[in-house]
Amino acid sequence: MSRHTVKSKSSRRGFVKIGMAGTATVLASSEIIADNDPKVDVWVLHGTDKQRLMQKALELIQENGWFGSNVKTLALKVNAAWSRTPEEGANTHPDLVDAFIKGVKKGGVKEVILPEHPCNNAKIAFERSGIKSVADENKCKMIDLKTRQKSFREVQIPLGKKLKTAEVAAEFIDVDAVVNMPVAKHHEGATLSIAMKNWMGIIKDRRHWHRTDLHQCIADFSTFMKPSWTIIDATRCMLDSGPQGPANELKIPDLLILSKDQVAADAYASSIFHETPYAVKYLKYAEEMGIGVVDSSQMNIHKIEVG
Amino acid sequence: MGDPSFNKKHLRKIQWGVRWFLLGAALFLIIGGPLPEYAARIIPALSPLTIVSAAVARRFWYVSLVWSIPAFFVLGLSLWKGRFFCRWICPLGTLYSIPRKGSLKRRFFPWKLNGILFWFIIFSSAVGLPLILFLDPLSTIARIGVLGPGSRNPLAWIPGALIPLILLLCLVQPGIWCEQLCPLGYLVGKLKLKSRTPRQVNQMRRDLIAGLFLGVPLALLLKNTARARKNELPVLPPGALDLDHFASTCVRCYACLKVCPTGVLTVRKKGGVAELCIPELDFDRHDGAYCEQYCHACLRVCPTGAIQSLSIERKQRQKIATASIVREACLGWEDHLECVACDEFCGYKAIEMHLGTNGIPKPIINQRKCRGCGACRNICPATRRGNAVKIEPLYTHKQVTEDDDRSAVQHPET
Repeated sequence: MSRHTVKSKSSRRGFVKIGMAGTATVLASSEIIADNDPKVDVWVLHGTDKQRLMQKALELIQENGWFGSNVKTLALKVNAAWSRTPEEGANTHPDLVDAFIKGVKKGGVKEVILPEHPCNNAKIAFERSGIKSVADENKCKMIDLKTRQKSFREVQIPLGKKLKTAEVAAEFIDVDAVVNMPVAKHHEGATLSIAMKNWMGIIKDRRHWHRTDLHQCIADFSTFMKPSWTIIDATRCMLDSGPQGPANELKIPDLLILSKDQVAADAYASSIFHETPYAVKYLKYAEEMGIGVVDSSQMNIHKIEVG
Repeated sequence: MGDPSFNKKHLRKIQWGVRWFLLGAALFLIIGGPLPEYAARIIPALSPLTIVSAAVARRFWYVSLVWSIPAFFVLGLSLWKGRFFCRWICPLGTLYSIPRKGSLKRRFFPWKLNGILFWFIIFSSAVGLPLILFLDPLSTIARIGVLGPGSRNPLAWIPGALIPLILLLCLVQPGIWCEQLCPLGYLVGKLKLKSRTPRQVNQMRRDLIAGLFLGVPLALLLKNTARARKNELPVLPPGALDLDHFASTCVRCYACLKVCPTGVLTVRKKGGVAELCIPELDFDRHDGAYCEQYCHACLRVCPTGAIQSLSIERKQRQKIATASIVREACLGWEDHLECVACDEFCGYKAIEMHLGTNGIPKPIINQRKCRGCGACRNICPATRRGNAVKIEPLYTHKQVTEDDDRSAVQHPET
């Protein structure tokens, strides 16, 4: 029960800040009821204005416990791995990143960092993705993890089946909160690259996963890395030629998918590409290992139109 | 105007101030840091010797009008003032003047070889292989750039070892480089219109003949013998066009190494004298060492056109090598793992998947589409039986056509 107390406190604090103290008790209690519901919340926001999509997402995050209490530093994992433009859909859209940083800073987070271990050269990929300029504008550090070899820290993954240890960027360990903001796209090797796959950009040795068992490693690492929130950019999705593209077929679902459960978020996002989430092996493994919810009947899916 | 010795004293002080300032400025441009890429080009581009001999070797004036200005400036200055360039501007000259005061001043090396070296360069260039062009002082000092951030390449100091060696010699006999060896110094000195005595003309004739009789046969001999064998060709940067062209015009200033963002460009360790220490691409150097699709940095800094400046679109179609999968080493073909890292990293969609009967994706490289950028070789996670990507360098680069891009691979029968 202590977890609930902390949560309600933090949401109360958030609302005092915006001058809605009166409703705090009501909301806090409704949250406890929601938590007793075994179903996992997944919010699916639809709209064409990326700024407003993210603002709505942040409102929902505010209503649902923010990033925990007293969060001063936040590490944001975007996907800026490829030297592709925002329209091509290989990286997270910079407009979403921009709105997110502005929103959380307004909400009291002092420092947002964007560490990334890119596939292409960081200088080129960060710039072409459009995320570097957004980070600079908001005075956030975008960190090329290739140049920070010393900051990788070995961690144990006790629940992992094949991946028992990993070297993880300390930038994601030494912060108050971690948020995963991937783009949803086709991926030749992993079938789909969304949230769980995005963690490959915070580890040192991606080659090890490739030669071990890519799908199992992705599932295994998700037992260790659990972000406060997963926000999936499904505003435009590459249906083929992933992860780099450019795709022959680009779908424009105009969606932002939000959940605290990264597996549920991935499973919902997979519906854009496949009839069933079980088409993605690492999602199947994740369900078997009990990392999160894959079956949509176990989710509370809130569809929200952001006009 | 007062005491002439007083004036002279002042002049010397001003001269040293200017020289130190220009040396500092040159080092700043060479080491770069936050400067734009083209800064790496300015110092080597000042030398008329490199630009002229590259033009002679290729029978084609490559360098653009704007980038010819520095060299023509030096040429014009020399017509008027002769060795003024050496005494006031040349950063290497300043560097070699530093030990003058504390030197032993012993004249153990009395010969003046600069004329022979100069004509040797010109005549060997005329044959198509400027053998000792790397002696050019401005390329020599530009080599310091590889010590700066980004490249960290100790091998570049093999031709760069010239600087410490000459500095040591200068401690014994000051001026040994500038007055007796430097081919550029000879050129700017001889260009001065006003100072030609018949004796000098005779000396010049002798130097010219010596250069001709040494340079032409040696260049001809090495051009055909001291080349890389077919199985150890280097992978050259995309603007290099072909090995002959590259070897005949590269001055080893390493401006390209300096600006390469991935560090894939390095100094060649193998090969004959004709290709001694030329830049090459090595995809096994470190994580991320491959030629980036959206980069043409090295193409824009080459002072001689050894690496020609192509547009980014043309550069992306320039085929420098061909990759192929070694199936026996491949995790997909041999171990039935869902790896596909090579395909992920291919920016040109040149890798196709063969699913076969078991549905495990197995890579096949479309050799017509492949540019040889080496991304697949660099990322290949296979270790047990070696890297599963083989790179075959091209002697003469070519353009990948749109037809090539539309082509597909032949899948094996299953």
